[in-house]
Amino acid sequence: MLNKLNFLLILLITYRKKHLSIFILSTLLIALMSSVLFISSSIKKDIFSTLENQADFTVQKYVAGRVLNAPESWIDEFYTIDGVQNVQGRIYGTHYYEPAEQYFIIVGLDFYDTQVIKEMKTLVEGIDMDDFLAKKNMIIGSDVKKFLDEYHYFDYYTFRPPDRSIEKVYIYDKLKSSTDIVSGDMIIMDIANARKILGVEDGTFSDIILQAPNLKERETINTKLRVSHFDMRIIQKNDIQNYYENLYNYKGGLFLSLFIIVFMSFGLILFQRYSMISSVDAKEVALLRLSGWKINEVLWFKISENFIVILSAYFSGIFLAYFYVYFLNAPLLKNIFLGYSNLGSSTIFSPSFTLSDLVLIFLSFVIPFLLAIIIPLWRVSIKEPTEVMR
Amino acid sequence: MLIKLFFSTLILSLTLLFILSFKAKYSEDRAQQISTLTQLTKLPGLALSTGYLEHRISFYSDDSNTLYPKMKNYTKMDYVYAK
Repeated sequence: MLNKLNFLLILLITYRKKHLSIFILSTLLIALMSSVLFISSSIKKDIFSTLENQADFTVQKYVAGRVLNAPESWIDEFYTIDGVQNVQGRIYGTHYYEPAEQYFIIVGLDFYDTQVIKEMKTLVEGIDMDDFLAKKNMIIGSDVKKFLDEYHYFDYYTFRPPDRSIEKVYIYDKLKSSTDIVSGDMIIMDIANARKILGVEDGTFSDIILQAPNLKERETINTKLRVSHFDMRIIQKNDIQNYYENLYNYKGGLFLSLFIIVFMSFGLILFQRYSMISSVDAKEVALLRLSGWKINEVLWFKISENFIVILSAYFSGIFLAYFYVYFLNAPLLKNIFLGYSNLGSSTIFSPSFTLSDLVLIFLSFVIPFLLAIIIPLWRVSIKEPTEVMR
Repeated sequence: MLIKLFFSTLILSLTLLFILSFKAKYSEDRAQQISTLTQLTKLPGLALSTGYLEHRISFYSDDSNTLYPKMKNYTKMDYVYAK
């Protein structure tokens, strides 16, 4: 057994040039395919972790195809529906920076709420709420910070609200870059400032969110909300979930179908190459047969030789993809998934993949590869060895 | 040759294990921070680098057609509310 293993290693080293080209090409293909799966899986994980904290219902005032600000009176109205809890108005919206055609998302929070203060302290280390509320301050995402630095807004930024006033808001701190996937384009400020900048009048909110903890009651609550006002759009949590799931399944699926084509072409090339099996390979098989090896022994030996090459390529490809996605944060490829037309996304991906992903890559690559090699070799090995030697 | 192969594989595996455990610890902290942030803002989805207005909310299915509401089965809770 050890002798055979030693012989196998000697063969691998002797024909290293032949194996090296296949190894490099296979590694690159596996790395590319794994990268796509890793990115897609990591983004999905982040999306679903953000969805866990979402409200069960988001209600918007929706008139003639446009979203308008929702009246505050709806909050008291929704509280009268049985099973509804935590009805809150949200203030948020996009700010368009015209010279560079970029959008930021402004979120207004009530910084006098003890829960908000507690959570802000975990997000921004060393935040002093008195200091923060002493003047108009904001906390910005790291991509916004990079952008504002580029345009020389180092300490403050001047907003122009719809009432034609000038709102100078100071940059208090930036959010940690580890949360960039949700906070890259985000500006957090006090709710009163956000109202003014976004032009949301008192007595209204951007939209209203509410919780319905009992799953069985949700359909009834949905119906009751629907009939309560006709100028209303109701977005349920699972609508958002389905949307994102479909989006990333679609993007990942598109890539997978492209990869199947690439793998088939690769298999075809290999098959072609081994069909025209070189005299050296044929003689090698014939010599093994002449030295007393059976056909199945020769085939198993050849399978092992190629399996070592492809298995090394598989692990190298996976490792390369892991490094590319989770350490280098997938430059270029991430833009396909996250977009590239707005602020530069300096997203950090967190490791997320399942064993089934790895098995899928293995099955879709290694098995066709071995088949493409083994069929021509089998054809040679069943021939009479003396005939092959001549 | 076999001994060389064994030791090089061992060193490589240990290095990989160290890297993976380090990254796993980092991603736990990160998940916690993302969770806190989304609890605060209650905004779904990601900071996609797209120029769509309201990109975090505009895609969702429009459930506002009150003239042709979706057909819905009666559930037990409907009778509870009817009372």
